[in-house]
Amino acid sequence: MTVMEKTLKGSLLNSLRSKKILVGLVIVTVFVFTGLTAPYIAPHDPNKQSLRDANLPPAWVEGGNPSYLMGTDSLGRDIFSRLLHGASVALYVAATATFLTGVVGTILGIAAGYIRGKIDELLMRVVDIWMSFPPVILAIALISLLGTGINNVILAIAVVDWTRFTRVVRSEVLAVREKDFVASARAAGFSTNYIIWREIFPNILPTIIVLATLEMGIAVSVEVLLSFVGLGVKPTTPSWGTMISDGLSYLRTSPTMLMFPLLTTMVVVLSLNLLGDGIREKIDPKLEVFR
Amino acid sequence: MKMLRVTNLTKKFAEPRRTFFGRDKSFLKAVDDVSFEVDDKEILGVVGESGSGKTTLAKTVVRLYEPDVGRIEFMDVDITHLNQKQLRPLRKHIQIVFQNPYLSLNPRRKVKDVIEDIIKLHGLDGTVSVDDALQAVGLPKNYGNRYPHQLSGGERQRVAIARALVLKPKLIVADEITSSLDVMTQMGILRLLKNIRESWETSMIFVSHDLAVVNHISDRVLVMYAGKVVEEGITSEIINNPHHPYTQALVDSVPDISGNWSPKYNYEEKDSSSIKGCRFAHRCPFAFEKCYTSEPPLIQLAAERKVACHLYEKNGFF
Amino acid sequence: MAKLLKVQDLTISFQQNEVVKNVSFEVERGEILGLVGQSGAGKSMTGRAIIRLLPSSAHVSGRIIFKEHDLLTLKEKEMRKIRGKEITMIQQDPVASLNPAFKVRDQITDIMKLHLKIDNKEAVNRAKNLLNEVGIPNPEKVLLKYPHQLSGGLCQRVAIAIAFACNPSLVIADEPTTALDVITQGMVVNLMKKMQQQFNTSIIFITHNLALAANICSRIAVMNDGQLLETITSKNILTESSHPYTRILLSSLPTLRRGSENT
Repeated sequence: MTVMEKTLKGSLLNSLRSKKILVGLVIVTVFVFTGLTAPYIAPHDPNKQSLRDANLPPAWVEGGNPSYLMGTDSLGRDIFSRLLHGASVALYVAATATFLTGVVGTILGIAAGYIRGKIDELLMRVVDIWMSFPPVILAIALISLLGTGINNVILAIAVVDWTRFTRVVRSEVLAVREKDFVASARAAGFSTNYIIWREIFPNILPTIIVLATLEMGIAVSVEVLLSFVGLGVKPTTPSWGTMISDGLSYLRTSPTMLMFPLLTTMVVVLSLNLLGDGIREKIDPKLEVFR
Repeated sequence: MKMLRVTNLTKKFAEPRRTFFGRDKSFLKAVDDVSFEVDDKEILGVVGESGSGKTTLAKTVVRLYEPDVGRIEFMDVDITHLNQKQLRPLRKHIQIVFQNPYLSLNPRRKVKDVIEDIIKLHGLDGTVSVDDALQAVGLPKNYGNRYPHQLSGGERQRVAIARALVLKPKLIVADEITSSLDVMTQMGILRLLKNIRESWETSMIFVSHDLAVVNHISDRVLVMYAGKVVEEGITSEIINNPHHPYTQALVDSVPDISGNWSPKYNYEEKDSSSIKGCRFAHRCPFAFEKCYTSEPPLIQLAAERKVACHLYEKNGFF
Repeated sequence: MAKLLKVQDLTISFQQNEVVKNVSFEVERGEILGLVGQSGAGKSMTGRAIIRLLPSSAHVSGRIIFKEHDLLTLKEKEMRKIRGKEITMIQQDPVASLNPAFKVRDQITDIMKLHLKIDNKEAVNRAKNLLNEVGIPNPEKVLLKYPHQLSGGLCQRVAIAIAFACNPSLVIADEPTTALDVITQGMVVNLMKKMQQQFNTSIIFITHNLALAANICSRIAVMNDGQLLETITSKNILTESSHPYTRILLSSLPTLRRGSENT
């Protein structure tokens, strides 16, 4: 994609001047790296229980065990390893859900925004009706129907959020299609297909990137939330959400059991939002490309 | 006493630069070391393309911006660094009219309210009436009851002028006021301005990118390029005999209805990376070595002509 | 020799509001016809009607006969074969009329590959030559640039290159100099005259500037309020024009007439 080409070559260095992008990017990179390598770098099996080593404090506290860096939970599982694997879970959910939502949202948004007419009217009616359901209830209803599990969580997120993606893409397309260069392309005799993929899409790509980044933040939050209430991943899968729920019961005695997963979640979601915001700020409104 | 005396005026704007390290903010000098005077009852034209600094100059002169360097003296009073409170009594005497008549009038207020507000603000009840102001700009009295959206572009512009006139200012700055009007309406406004100069004895600074329009109305003209004045003189003389290469190109490029028009200046902007010498050097067909290394000062050529060009210096070409 | 274009009783309306009313005119092969009028006169709409690029809400009636075919009766698919190849358009804002996401090279080669069925290598070669024709020094460098990296004048040269890339019979130039400074305007005018002579293309030059039109067009059609008032030859514009509107237009033009008194 030439917009990406241009973005990377010309403005990458410039983008790093934005604190939001810098901070966001660093943390998100750590998040992604951790998520991808967790099975290889985690010191322990996240599900390995050891009643002998239960409820240990972090290694730097008196009573701690250096082989369990952040301590253990009530079943003797290493919190640090669970945290790392939780990153994998969060990453998998975020990436897949965002991809699904993104593809559906982009295709429908372009169809509605460029072709207009009956397709647009129908689609927008569906979106309106869909969006009138409270998202939380919709997600929970879906989970109740399909059962828990990481893939159902992904489905729930996509089912709820595709409407938002579609709407934003559609309004961007509506704006771009009125521009002079689209008129030039039509005047040149290009087909609708060409115009959509060469004229419209590259010029809404920056917005899609912003949407996707923010969507990942939402996906992580939703996964953690659902897992927290027990409607998310299966109990055998380590998730920051289940860790938080476990940690809540031991707040008085071992506050770190709660703090570590909670802070990690907050930091990751915050950085995804920072990154998305930072990129959004960098988009030159006149050109719809990165400055 | 000169109506307006501007000396070494410079106005800078911060332009963030793209460097990887640090915050190297370079400044763009929108107006760079400009000096000129406006006499009583004189109409001074300021002509230049977009980016020449003419609008910034207009706004700085009426103190919408504060100058970074230089002095502005209005009726012998130094208004360069006065604060807004000190400026208020002077605002009566200097007025500015802007380009877009659609944006400069509050859509929710009737024409007469707009004019009355100004009258009340400056305590002129009794001296000037709304009717007088409307009449002065050639609008019928009943227009006072109309809202802006009920007026045409030209009529709105006349209301904006009426609003400026009501205070009987000594100096009116008109910033591209006819640029968004069609040609017939434009001619009407130009005639109106000439009448105003006669009957109200007002001086004017008329800013425009259109040399033909400036020629029609101004006595003298400043030609601006990239923030600097490149030529100054009596309008008809400059048009008949332009000295600065940019002015020549400008005069040459105005299409004439007689059909004897063949624009000769075909050069394209080359990369203006070196800003050390004359700003125009990279586009100038006559540029020589000195032009790229030193900025030409604005020098007095004849009684009423100034040019900033190395070609005309004593030890230059001529 | 048959006329290249015959517009007959063209009427364009938007929801009962007529913006072009019964306009008729003809364009010969190789001539530059001016469509002159102030803002809202309907000249832009007329130009876009010919290349059939009006918004879908527009209601069009009349006939637009181009090389013996009525363009208004053609299917969209057939019209696409004509656009960009037989009839092309140049727009007012040169930077905005180019796709910000692609290099200049791709924008020129795409249209050539579409209509001329040539391969990429050939297209790039022709693109380089085209840029030379429109007076761009260093065409190789410019080909690799993005529109926002070029000045307005350069972009308009590129747009002109694209418009002539497939050797069209008719170019619709919609206010091609309005967004440019007056010096660049002179350059563009010279360029268009040169291209027109070189390719023997007809041009419909749409502008609000009567003096400009008088210098580039052989004939001028004066429009106001959707109607075509009269068509006059540029050479005799001062003597031939009889419509009161044209006379007022002429008398309202500020000029640089040297030495003489302005009214």
